[in-house]
Amino acid sequence: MSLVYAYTRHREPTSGEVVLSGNEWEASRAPMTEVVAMTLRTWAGTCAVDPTLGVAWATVNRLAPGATATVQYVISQALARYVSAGLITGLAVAATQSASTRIDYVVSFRDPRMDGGPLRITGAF
Amino acid sequence: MAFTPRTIAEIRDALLSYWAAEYLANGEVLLTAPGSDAYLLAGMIAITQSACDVQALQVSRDILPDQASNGAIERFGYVYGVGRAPAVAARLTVTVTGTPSATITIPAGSSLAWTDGTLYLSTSTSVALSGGGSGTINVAATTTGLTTTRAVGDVLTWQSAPAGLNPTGTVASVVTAGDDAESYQSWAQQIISRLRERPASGNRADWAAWVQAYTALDIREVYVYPTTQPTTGAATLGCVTVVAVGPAQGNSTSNTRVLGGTPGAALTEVHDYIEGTRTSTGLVTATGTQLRPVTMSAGDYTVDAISVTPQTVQMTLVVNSANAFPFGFTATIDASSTTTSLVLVGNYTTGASNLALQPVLVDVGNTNYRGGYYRVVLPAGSFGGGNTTFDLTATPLPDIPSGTLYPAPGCWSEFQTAMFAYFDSLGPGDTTPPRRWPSEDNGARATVYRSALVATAMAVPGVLSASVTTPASDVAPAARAVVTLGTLLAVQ
Repeated sequence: MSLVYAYTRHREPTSGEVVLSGNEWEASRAPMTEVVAMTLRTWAGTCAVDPTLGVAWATVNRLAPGATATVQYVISQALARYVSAGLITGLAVAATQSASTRIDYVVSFRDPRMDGGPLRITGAF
Repeated sequence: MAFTPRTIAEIRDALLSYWAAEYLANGEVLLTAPGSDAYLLAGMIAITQSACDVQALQVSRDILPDQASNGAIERFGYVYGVGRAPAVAARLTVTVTGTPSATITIPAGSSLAWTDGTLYLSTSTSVALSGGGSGTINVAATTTGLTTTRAVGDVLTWQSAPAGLNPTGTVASVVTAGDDAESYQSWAQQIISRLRERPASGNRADWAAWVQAYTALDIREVYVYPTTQPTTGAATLGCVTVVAVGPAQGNSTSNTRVLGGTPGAALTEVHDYIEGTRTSTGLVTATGTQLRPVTMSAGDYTVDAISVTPQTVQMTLVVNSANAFPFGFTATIDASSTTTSLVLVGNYTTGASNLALQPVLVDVGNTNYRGGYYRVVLPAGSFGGGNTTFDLTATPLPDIPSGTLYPAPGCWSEFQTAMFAYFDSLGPGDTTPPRRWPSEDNGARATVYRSALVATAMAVPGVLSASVTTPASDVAPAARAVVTLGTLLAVQ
């Protein structure tokens, strides 16, 4: 496998567990996607190493009116530090509420150090 | 060499830098952006390493006592045999009242209480009341600490009044002021002093240690004048003069810093202890150890109480409105005044000169009140025969007033306390050339500097400006003498 611009470990998108290839950690083919996914998986304030890492999911009330807008806002806020550092560009966050209380979101962005189209991460809260 | 701990961010960034360099050497680039895998891993290691750095810093500080932690100071104290001064319980005398001319038995365990709940156990088993129905008992606080000290005049209440005594007693004097345990900072300073000059072979530190080891007197400070002839004070080889100082006087009327009660007197019991004829607790013994070096005679040294040089202090204060002087004039106290009747020459019952409910300062002398000027709030006066009389039966003065009456600023009590503390911190004067140990540069200045008086007054909340009228110049005491406070007055 060819190495992209930088090395970082590849993690299973949902659980965040590192992925092994044989006895070695598998390298990620989209480094900033790993960072964004790690951020989305983390509740703001819960990472002792970096308390600013993560999304302020605790502020989202899924039953409240405008919950989708809140989700868009907290995700954008969580990823703003990567945008301001120029690590990702073209950030767009969309959120929709299903019939239940679940809110689906789609985060798309570009990694300026990689060729190709926008990267996309979907999730639900 | 001082150890400088790194912050978590510094450690993390350094680690990421090393780590990235390793990857680069292998032809790869490590993603180190915030939130990245490497960033978080380095952050975790940095937190642990930071704790190690902090511990390393503390270890480097614990090497010597000046910056050591409390635990390390305790260990230094144990290893070098320097104990921490324990907390002290206040001991007071209390005036009690009851059946005139009766001798009242005070049951064991009887105690009086202050308003904050502090208990004072009676150490007197009985009290003989005068024809006026009053007598004095000794009490000691059941707990220790600075807060157990009471002011003269404070009213204590019997937990269970002995038969024949009224339910309250009034503090007559402070025998021993309560004190907190020595601070760790002070303890560390003691250890440093010991390390700088180890007591041995009859050196000056040895003399100080011997005198301080005598516990039958409340010796707080010791000053050694090596090669000083005990009687003449002349520089003489083979002679030593030691001056011992008692606890701070505070608001006590007797100068507790003068051990034994007589200024400049030889403390023969300490001399006996050094000769080996008395134990450190003051008991006569035939089996003691002579501490004096055999190469000197017993007459070649002395251990004395401090001599005193009383100094009147008068200061002019500018205070804020919350502590303002209540009026702008003075009044002459008539010679017919008593402790319960203040008589002023002139009419002070009407108009702007009405002194009813005004706080005033009256000079009651130093015998029964430290500093002389006593603050009292006057009741309504009565004018007759050219004089105004104020009945002070409810709040009697400590002694007969005389001289001039002055207005009392709101911060008088704080000012008084600050001045008492300043004078209580002074040490004895030095010889020429200087021989005192510890020297003035190492603490306990002997000279009263007018600027120091101003600084002391300025530190009192509410004082905006201060100047010294008396003394007119700095006061330097003679060798072995301490400048003490005579009359203290603040005017506007």
